[in-house]
Formats: sequence, C-alpha cells, structure tokens
Amino acid sequence: MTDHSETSVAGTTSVKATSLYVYGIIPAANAGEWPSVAGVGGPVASVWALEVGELAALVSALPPDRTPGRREDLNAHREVLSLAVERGTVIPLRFGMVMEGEDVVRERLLGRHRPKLIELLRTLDGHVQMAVRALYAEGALLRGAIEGDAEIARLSAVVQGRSEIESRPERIALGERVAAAVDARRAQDEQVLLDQLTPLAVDLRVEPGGSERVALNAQLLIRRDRRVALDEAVRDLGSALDGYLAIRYIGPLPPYSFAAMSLEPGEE
Amino acid sequence: MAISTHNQGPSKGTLYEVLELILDRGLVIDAFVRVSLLGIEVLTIDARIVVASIDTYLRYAEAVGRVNLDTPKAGVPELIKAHETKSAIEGAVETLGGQLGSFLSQSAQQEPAREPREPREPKEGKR
Repeated sequence: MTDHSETSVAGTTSVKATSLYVYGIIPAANAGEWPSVAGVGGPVASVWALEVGELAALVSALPPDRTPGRREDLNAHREVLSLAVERGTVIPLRFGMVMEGEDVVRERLLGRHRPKLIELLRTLDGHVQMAVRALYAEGALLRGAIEGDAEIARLSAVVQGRSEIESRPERIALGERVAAAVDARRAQDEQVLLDQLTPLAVDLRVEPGGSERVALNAQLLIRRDRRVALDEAVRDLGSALDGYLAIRYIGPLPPYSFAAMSLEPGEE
Repeated sequence: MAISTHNQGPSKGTLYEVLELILDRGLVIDAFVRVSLLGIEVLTIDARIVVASIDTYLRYAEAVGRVNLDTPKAGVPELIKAHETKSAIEGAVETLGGQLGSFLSQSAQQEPAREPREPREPKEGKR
C-alpha cells in the first residue's frame, strides 16, 4: 500500500490529464451554477459538476503529476465539500478518489451506483453533520472521579509518607481503584452529555476520544431546522460545565460520518 | 474560561480537527483511491502534535484560572442539575493530589513530555 503512491504516478504511463478528482455527489437539481472554485491541484483545477440524470459528481481535473496528499489538497477537498453542504445536500467522498476520465465517473460511479446514491441523498437531504467534542479541564476528571471515595482516601492516607517499597501493595490497590474511578467517571460524563444531545440528533456516532482528556467525541447528524436548538443546547452545556469541561463545537460539516460506506468498483 | 467556546456558535474547526473525517469517513470506492501516503503520514503526525497542543492550551488556561477561581468539584450530572457543590471535598482532594498524580500513569507521565513542544498552529494559509 505504501508503494502505491509512487507507482500510480511514475509507474502508470496511462495517467492522462483527464484524471478527475472526485469530491462528492449532489442532486443534479442543485448543480446549476456551481461556482468555479479552485480544487485539488490549485487554481488550474477548477471544480465543476458532472451531471448524469438526477445525480451530479463534483470533480476537477487533476494534473497528471499530482498525487493528492498535501496539506493544501486536504484543505481544497474540505473547502469544496463545505461549500457543497452550504448549498444543499452532498454525499462526501473520502479524500483521494481519482477517476480516469469523465466516462469512468459517469459509468462506474454515477451509473452503476445510481440507486444507492439516490437513496443516500434522500436520507441525508435536509441534514448536516455537527461535531461535539468535550475536553476535561486539567485535573478535573481526576478530582471528580475520586471525590467522596472513602477507600481511595483511606489508601492514600496509608501510602502517604511511606516508601514506595513498603507501601507497594497499597499503592497498587490505590492506583487500580483510581483508574477504575476515572473510567467510571468518564463513562458517566459521556452518557450524561449524550443524553442531552441525542434527542436533537437524527443519528449519532460516538468516536474514540484519542486522548485521556476527552470526555466525548460525537458526530451528530441533525436536521438543518434543528440547528438553532442544538446551538442552544451546546451553549448551555458549555456554560453549565465551564471549568470542568471545555466544549468544541464544529460544523456544519458535510455528513462524512453518515456516508461512510464502501461501494463496489465493478469489473474493469 | 478563556478557552471555552460557550458564548459562540459552532466553528469551522481546524483542518486537524476534521482530518480523521476527511481521511477515514465518507463514501469510498477502493479501486479509485489515489493518495500520497507519505504526505498524509506527515499530516497525521502533525495532527497529533496539534491536538496535544490544544490540550496544552486548555491546561494552561485552566491552570491560570485556578489561581483566582474556585476549583469546580462537581461532575457533569451535578453541574447540569445545578446541584449544590460540596466544598468539604476540596481540601481532601488537594492533599490527595500529589499522591494520586503518579498513579494516573498516562496523563501524569505524558504531560510533562508534551509541554516543551512548541504548539504548532495549523498553517492554513490560503494558496
């Protein structure tokens, strides 16, 4: 897989200037007057909508020597899709989809998968993705987890002032108990946050936090007309939890998490 | 505190905050994936550093806040229900703090290592 990046450029002589970078799929009804913004590959690669029936793929020509993967490529992918979600419904493609020419996009993406794509567009219609991430303030999780735990207080008192060697069993017991208390606390906090957010979402994905400090990392699919309600709910949570948790609230995003499926490429 | 965003609406987020969504979600047709993995790997390493930096900012913000402000003791359920906070706990927690720090192995050991690192702001300048 790692060598792939090189061979796709250097090894494949058939890579033509007609390679198309594909961003996402929108209803053809929304494709009219798609603004010509710069795509992956810079200003020369202007984005346009390739229409087939009721579907349209957002594409831009990819320079033949270009393998997407740079920071500016990721930004371009993101910018194009954020513009798309501002304008209406979009199925975001994962970063790095490149097809060899318009016919391939027509046949092997829009044609072959038409029913599935139409169904997904219908499901996503009128919705956006919002991300809510809650981060503990320094020490907040630990303090919250151990408060009122008599056994932790007792063990800690036993350990205090004694050498590590002579109090080893107590230290291990204390550490185990604290770790368990922290896990329980985090799970409880996550659940309470979810209880507040879930009623506002049509669908929801809870992702791993990726850090000890993360209480919640949730992706919400919400109706556009519930945005105000969610904004308020998140603002209220932020106020109520100030000093304990800091909330990062991001969106509106294209529904990346709710379009995470793999389609069959079809035979050559 | 300074860093909390509860007065504002949602933000667009940094590239790093949405990196995983862009790289690992969305519709995929395997046969048509063409990415330079080298570039991506560099970016994801960057992302980890920046996420760690955001944590660092939050930690500093909190540390500064703690000098003047009461240390909150309640958890999410209590805060949401606006329950009374129990100030008696605080003293006990403070004395426990030193001992307990070393047991919270990961957070205690990783944090000092991350501190000296220059927080790298995502360079999102327009081309």
